[in-house]
Amino acid sequence: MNKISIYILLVLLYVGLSKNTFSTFKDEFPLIANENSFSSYFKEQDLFSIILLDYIETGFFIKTYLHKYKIIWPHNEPQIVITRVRRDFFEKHIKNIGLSIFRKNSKNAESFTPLPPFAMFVGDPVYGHWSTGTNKREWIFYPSYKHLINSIGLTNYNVDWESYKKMQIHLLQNNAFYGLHNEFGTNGSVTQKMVKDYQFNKKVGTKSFKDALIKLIKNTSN
Amino acid sequence: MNEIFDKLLLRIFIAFTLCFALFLYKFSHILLHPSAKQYLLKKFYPSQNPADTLYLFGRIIGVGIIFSGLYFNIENNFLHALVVFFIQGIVVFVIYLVSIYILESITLYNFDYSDEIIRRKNMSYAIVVFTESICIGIIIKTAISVANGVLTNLLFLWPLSLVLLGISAKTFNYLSKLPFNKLLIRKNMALAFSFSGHILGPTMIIVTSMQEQVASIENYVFQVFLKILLSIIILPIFLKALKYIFRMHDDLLPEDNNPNIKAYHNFNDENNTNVDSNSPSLGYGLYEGGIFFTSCFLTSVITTHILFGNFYPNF
Repeated sequence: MNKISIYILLVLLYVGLSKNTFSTFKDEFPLIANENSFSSYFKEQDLFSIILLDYIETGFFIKTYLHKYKIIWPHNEPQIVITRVRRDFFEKHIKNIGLSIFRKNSKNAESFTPLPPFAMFVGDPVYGHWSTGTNKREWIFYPSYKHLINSIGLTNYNVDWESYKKMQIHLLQNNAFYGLHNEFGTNGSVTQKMVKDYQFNKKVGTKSFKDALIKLIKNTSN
Repeated sequence: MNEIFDKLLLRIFIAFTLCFALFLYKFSHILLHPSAKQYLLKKFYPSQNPADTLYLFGRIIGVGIIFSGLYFNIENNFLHALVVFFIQGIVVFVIYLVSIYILESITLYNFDYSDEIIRRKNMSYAIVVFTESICIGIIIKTAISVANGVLTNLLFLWPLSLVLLGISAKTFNYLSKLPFNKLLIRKNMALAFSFSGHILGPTMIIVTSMQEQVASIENYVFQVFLKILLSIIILPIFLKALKYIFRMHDDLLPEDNNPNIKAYHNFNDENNTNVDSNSPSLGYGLYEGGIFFTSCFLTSVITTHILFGNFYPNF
């Protein structure tokens, strides 16, 4: 029993000293347990939208789940934040890359329904208006909010009235909305363009098993 | 063609320089170990006293190992390279001899060379000293390599490594069931091999732990300490696993020779090969030393040969 106690003590000592030496994910990135944690983490902010840019799962026996968010404010530069999340929260948003997963408006009303990144700004007369005089009504931002187009990834996409109405229905039903033609979400075409510069560096240069075996047998430096 | 011959002649000249350095080592040994004067200055007949032969060759091989860590950089100036080599040589001689003196003071403080080697021709003692010399040589060579030619780095790496080796040597009494002093006096070979394994193993761990960049002294010492701590955590796994995999049975009776325990072993052990700790067989010493040495070797694989790379990505 004495030997076991000493062994456990050594293990704890090693873990404790390593923690102080090597910064771990726990030290660097805050934990977001679920959507309700966003308010407490960004408690000083009263109007913002959180877009999920990417996620990654690290570790072998003990997994760590990370999310990368873009925080959009109407009057400030967007901020990129990496947080740790719980497994259930991670699995819940597997398909929701590029979507806004949390919004808080000026009335402090919070919304957790995964919607396209423009959800908070399109339809609000503060930020723009619907075009008139064409067959298809499209959203136009006011000049002072034109910067939001880049921030929310709408440089090659125009939000039309039909998408907006469909989004409202999904919002009322509390269902995720991925666009009329699934342009948003993890495999969405608009999302792919929006998040490509923000993705986690997921094992660049990983070789296939076959390549690894070939390298073991012969010199493939040429 | 001229260049090839010139390089060959340079190499032969440097070989003679090394021989001269060994000659200087012989005299520096006499300065620090005056008792060695009698055997270092006269002709040596290796067959007369095998224990003495082993003792001497321990020192020589240790010096040889250390010299193998030195470099001649004659890119700029051959004379400068020679001077640098001799300065390094003198420093490493002193370090080596002081290290031997310190380590033998720790482990063999009850023993005297003239008694054990000259008079009693104690092979067990000779093996212990031989192994200690080799271990010190390996560690100093590693310190030279890590110091990267900077003497100030060497002068803090050396005491650090010596302290670690000294602690390892002292742990033999806790890790082994063999009474060191008693068996060494009795010239027991099992003790010699067991101790050799118990000091060679930690030497490997210390050497692999020291293979770090010396950015700052505090950070380096901390990294070394962390690796050694990790080795202490991993080592018992291999110790237990090797015994389990190869079905090794520790057949050594306790020192007090408790008749109840002896009876228990006799009843349970079908081969009845129980060994008394007061006179353990060579096999038991080899078992203890071999298991520990192998476990340490395998532990060094775990502590230094696992490359995580981008497995845990940096952001």
